[in-house]
Amino acid sequence: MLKGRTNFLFILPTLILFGIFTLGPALWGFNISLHDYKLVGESPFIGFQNYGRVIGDPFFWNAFKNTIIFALVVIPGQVILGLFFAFLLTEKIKGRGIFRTIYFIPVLTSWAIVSLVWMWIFAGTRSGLINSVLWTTGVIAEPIPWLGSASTAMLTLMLLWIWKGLGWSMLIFLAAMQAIPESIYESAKIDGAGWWRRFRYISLPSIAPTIAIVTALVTGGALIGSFTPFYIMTKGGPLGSTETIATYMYKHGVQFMNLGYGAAIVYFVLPICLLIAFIQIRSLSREAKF
Amino acid sequence: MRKRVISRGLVYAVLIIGVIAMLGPFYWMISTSFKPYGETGRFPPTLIPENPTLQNYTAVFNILPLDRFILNTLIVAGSILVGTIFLSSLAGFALARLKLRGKTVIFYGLLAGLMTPLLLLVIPNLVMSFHLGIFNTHLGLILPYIAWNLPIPTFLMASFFSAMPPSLEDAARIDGCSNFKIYYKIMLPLSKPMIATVAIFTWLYGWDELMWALTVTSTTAMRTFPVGLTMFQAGPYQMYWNLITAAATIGFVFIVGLFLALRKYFMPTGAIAGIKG
Repeated sequence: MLKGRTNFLFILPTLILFGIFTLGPALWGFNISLHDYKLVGESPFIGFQNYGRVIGDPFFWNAFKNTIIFALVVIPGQVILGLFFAFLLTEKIKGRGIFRTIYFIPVLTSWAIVSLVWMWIFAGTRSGLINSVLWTTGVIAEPIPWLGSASTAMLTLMLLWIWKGLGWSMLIFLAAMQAIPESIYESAKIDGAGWWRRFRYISLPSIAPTIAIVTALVTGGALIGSFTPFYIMTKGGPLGSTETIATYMYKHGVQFMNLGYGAAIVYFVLPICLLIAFIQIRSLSREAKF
Repeated sequence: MRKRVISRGLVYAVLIIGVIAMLGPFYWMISTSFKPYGETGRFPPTLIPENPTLQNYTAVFNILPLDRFILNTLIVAGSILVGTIFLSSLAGFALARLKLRGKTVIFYGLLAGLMTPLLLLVIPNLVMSFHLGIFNTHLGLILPYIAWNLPIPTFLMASFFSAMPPSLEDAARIDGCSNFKIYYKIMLPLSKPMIATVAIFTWLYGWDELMWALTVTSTTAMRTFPVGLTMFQAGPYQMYWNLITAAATIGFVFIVGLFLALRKYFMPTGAIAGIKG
């Protein structure tokens, strides 16, 4: 009995921290969403009024729509390109390790750094790197205000998101693909299977569970975690075209200190996100059986 | 044979285009950081600085307390690194190798924690940081960061430890070693690759996290590197890309430096830890 208790000490600090900063707040946040919560003074209980406000708030639905569109582009982008480069790197070529490291560098850099660098590269003036290349090669006649225009700002952010996340999904797919015995590929090659067939009938089915997990994680990140580059590069603008659930919640919940309303936004959105992730894992793992 | 040469050439071509896309932005960042202000606005832009200067690297410390931002981040990222490695290896060891009641409950609890987004935790933790008196302190950053970062490293450590042969600890146990001694003397030294991998991503987390750092700190002296970096872009220097890129390059060196130092231990399977970053 004593032994069982001392074993528990190994895990106790983790459980304490976890209880105080994750589990407790996650539950208590719901309570906050039911109040007109104030840091100082009385916080009157108002039932589900905050949720009613969320449902009737056109700006919230704009952010919701933007987030869904963003996710619909970046999820396949990150997963398919990650698969593509992982498959290329299973080829026996020189410098495989170096390519792998280089593709991983954006993952290892902080969002704040890459967001600022992309702002500079996509600067709206003629001397911005992208504009000057496009202008010199005659693709565009006028410099494009990439982040300053409602029609291109979201596109720029999508590109950044895929660029930054590509190496991460690639590395995980690569690890899964390398667990497939080389001999299977060799015998398929002898049977005359081209690269598409090898990819479609060997690589893809054997790493399908990994694809399901990566897709679910990428989805969670895109739906709930789309914050830092948006906050730095556009602050949700221009004209709300890059407002996401995360930036909108931060603006109202933290910056304007509408704590109850901010909490209600998250609790309103979370079940929807969990449902999407659940459906994805279900359908992708069914696909895995082929 | 010829077909094979062509396809190999194609693979290389695609991979090299990828390399340009991946490294180009970093080249541009570093290149710009050595240009005088006048050269940044030139058309066509100069790929290599014509009049390279180190002035930007001294100026960034004068216009904002960048040294203070870096110091704060070194304190915070260093603390969560040590805390995460210590706690996740202890917990991972217990989950993988020791008799423990309620393992399943703990496992699912951590899994739920892993899936709890920061967005959900920001507001209640902000309120709590006032009650605990850790608002605008280093502890206000360090303790939640360790807690939020822990689930994945714990899973990684547990799976790493459970793959080790039981004979390792049986021998030690016969010699009368305590569980802690087995953890400390046998398991921990063997788990270097996983520790290095967890260290890389935890370090990045400390240098990367923005939302909570913006929320829980309120004075310039307490700002971390990512928050401080955004201040360059928000203030009167927002068009001075030579200065902004110089500050960004300094942070880049700190982050990628640790990865390059630990690269030979790096385990690709541990990359899953990167989702928090």
